[in-house]
Amino acid sequence: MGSAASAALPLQEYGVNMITNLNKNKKSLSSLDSAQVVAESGILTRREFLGFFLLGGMVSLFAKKVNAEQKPKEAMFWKRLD
Amino acid sequence: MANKVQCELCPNECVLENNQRSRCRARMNKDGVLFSLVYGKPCAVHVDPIEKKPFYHFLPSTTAFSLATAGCVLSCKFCQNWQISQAGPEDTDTYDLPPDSVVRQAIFYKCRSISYTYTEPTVFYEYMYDTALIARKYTIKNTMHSCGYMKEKPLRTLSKYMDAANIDLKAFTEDFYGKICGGSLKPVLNSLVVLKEEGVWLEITNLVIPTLNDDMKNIKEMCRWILKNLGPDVPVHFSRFYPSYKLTNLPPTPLETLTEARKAAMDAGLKFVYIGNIRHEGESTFCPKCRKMLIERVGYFVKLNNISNGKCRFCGTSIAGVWS
Repeated sequence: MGSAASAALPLQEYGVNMITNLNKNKKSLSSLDSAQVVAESGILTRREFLGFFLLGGMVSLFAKKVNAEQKPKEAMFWKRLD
Repeated sequence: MANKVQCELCPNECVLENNQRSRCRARMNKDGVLFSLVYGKPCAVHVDPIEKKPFYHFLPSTTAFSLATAGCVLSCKFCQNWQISQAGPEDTDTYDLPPDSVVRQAIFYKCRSISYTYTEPTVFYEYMYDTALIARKYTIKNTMHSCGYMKEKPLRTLSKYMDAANIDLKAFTEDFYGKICGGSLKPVLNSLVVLKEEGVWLEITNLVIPTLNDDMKNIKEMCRWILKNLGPDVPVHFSRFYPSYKLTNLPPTPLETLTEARKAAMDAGLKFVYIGNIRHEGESTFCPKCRKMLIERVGYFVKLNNISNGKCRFCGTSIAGVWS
């Protein structure tokens, strides 16, 4: 039976060291570089978004072009009247 | 004159200049070659009870993967599906569904058969033929509901892969076919005989329209022709007409007319005569010998089935049809 003092903090049980994380984030807001924050957070930059958007558009147009160029099926019963 | 082609699929035998469309709207002459414009592009795709086609002697209470493309070889003024049958492929919303995908979908939905229906399957002949060929490999049956307006050679070619056909015999006069449908009766009668010869399971539907084809004299004549040329086992469905398309001025067919037509057909010697599009005892199958009810139907649903191994469970009489 453990005492209250020796019991692990709830988040520590999940392997989260709260003190370390607190120290890491001690920088003041003004010292943060927005580009770095975006890069570290995994959010798409405007440039990346635009890139994906254009790529998607091109793939879609290409697929439509391929579809439109599918050769129609020749009929089975017909004759030339030359 | 150059690049002129003639379609040899249906009795319309359209002669087409370059870039001209056929009467059915589904075929086009492109630089001297005739192309199908609807191949792999159905505008209607559903899973239906087989009884809806209607097939009453073909795998009862199973489902049919049903499809249609735009277009029709006739122009019936009473068409119930005129929005797609009297339209070109570009006027309808279509799916991209090549033949192998149709078969895959039919398997996915556990359908015992694929049904080419709703509009006129003749207009998507190549699509139907290729699909039927693949379906046969996977032991899925092929059925069509057609007006029978097809030339003999393509019909015989198709019959190798077609398991059942329900043919609309719209009336028994050339006058009706000419004025109301824009076609002729003779090729339809020929198709019925060809299908019978080829061993395709055959059922016939006759839509009874007040004042236009409800003359009992003609109905009796039609029944005698069926009996003589196709035999007494061919099921005949007398369907109720509802005002539609260009015939909205006519009333629905009275029940009395339908029952009278059914009685006339049975008196003529036909064994299986049904009434459709209306709830009535005439939707059910009765044994031609002991007269007991074999298949009780309510609408498209089978309530009970007393046919076992193709025979009446009560007296053992063989009942014509495809039962398993």
